[in-house]
Amino acid sequence: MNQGSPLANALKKSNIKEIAPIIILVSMLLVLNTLNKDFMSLRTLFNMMQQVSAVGIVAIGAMIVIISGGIDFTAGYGLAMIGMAAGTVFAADILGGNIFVVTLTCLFAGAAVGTLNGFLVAKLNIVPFIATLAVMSLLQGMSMLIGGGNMVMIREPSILWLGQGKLFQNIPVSFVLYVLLCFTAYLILHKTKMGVYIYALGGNEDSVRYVGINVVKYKILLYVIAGTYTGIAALLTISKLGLAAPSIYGSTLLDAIAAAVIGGTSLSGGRGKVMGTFVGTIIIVLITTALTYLNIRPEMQDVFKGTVILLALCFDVFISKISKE
Amino acid sequence: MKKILTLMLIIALVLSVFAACGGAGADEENTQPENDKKVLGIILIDLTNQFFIDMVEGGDQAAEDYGVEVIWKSSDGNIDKQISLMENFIEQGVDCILVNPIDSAALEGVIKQASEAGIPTVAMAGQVDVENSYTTVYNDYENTEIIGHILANLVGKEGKVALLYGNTGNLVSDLRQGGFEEAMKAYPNIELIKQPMNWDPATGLKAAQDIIAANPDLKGLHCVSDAVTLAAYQAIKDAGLEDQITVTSYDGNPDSCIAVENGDFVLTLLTGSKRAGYWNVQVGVMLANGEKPDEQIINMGTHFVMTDEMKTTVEAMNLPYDISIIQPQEAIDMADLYTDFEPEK
Repeated sequence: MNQGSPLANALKKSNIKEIAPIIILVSMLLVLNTLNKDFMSLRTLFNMMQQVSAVGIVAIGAMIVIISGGIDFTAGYGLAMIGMAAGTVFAADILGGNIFVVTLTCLFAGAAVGTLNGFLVAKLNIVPFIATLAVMSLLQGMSMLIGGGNMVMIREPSILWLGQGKLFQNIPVSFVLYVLLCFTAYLILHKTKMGVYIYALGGNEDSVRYVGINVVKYKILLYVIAGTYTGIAALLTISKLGLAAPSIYGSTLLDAIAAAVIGGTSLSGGRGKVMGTFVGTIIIVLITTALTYLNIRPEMQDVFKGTVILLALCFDVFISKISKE
Repeated sequence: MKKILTLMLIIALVLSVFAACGGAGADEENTQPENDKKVLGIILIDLTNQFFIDMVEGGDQAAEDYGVEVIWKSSDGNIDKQISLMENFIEQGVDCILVNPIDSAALEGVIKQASEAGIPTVAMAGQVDVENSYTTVYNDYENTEIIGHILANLVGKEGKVALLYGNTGNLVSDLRQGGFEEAMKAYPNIELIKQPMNWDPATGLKAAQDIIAANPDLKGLHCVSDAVTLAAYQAIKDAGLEDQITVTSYDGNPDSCIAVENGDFVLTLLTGSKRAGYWNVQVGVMLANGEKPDEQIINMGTHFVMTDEMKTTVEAMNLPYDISIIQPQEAIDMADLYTDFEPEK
């Protein structure tokens, strides 16, 4: 075997992984459009833009953690807990309960969850899977306890504007925020030292440590970023709904991780792109939308979603195998 | 490092086991009736679900109002645990046991034991055919069926109507979905579009957005839980279709009552988990005092919440049902103050 071949394969592999999600998306759109002529409409497009925002932001956070070789299970109930915290702050009129205070609550609560995850994983060296699973359970309980688990209606127009407002009468404000956060994540991953470390951690953590990089610091930091992203997603969710309730976690966690994986993020760490996750999120959201348009039994949603995720995982394994040969 | 961590985990585990035993011990002390207070043992399916948490709050209020003691237990969704909790209560000799059966058939044996021990039992939202055992329900199926008829009449008995249900396999969701579908069978010109919302407002909002985008001519929407209806309404508002789409809801949450008052929703139905807790304890007290209800199945009173104007419209429909209609403000008072369950003393 000559030396050039693994490199060539690696190149090919990264290309396939980047192009695959786009191929899936385009074929889904084509099939949908053939089956239901009403599908391709501006309303669908603007709906999609609003629907992908919150889960997309969580997915970007999830992707960063997965690239570093970890996993974060706290996003779902974290979203509910942060939403309830913000809702309670709003309802109790703490410090005026205005948009500024509510936003700060979300950011702070999100960062706090991230710090806890990061501390458990980086400082105490607990396996991320177990650590974040435990924190998830903690957050589930807290989301019920905060504010007695009662639903809170959000009626402040400025807060509602974040989730429901439109720029130029059509572009959802939440989508603009989402794109900005994608761009921020891109800058962190590709234009900073930290980004290099995040990819390196997922590749080979020990070698990063041997080089003398403060692994603990960067690991905590990346969980904080993920937590903060969840915090922003929680803010957008409660403002989109006009209410905060303990049940707003929905299928956020699975959808976010699935979006990252479908977008080509490798669950074994070291690989993943913002653009891929962006496309992955659209695919995940599109699956449920598609079934409404095609009038397919709602129970099939989960079957379809599961199948797509499984295919993406198999594809991941398949590609790794090829590259090894 | 790892050894210390493992050690810490083991210590934590051991401690929590002790704590659990200690906790159980404390509960047993509680069960000793002090100064002749009647004791009710209540077993719920689990205590992490919002509905059950609210039930406990309502039930505790009733316990205070009636001067009884209530011991709440969670089955953690496990039928074996539920049976052993029942056995414990029988051994302790409580005055009445109320249980939310995970599986009614599986509980029949132990409910018989209770009956033989002279303890009356209540299967909440379940049914067991045993002497001295009663069933408490509120009639989700029929209530939803009536809402279906009202909505069908309001949209002119034709066109597209959407139903947002919880999730298939959940008893409450299935009843509320079944009743609505039953009603729609009477209207061949209505096309029913169904989507699950998993009791999650965000999922409900997305479902409503998608349904409206795919069916711009939608005329009616019913959602089986208020919190989700309130979110789904955002989709209707966003599409500017408030006048075209008639919305009905269920649960009687105060915010939803306000939406009825504002005319956003046509109606909602007051059930209420806190009310269910209060009322079940009330039934338990009655049985503990040795009273015998006439019927084996006891229905909790539920109320249709709508404005006076809508009430007139609905009455003009001449539906073959005898229903209680109240105003939004009345419903808000009832949900918190249990005014329609006043102790009959």
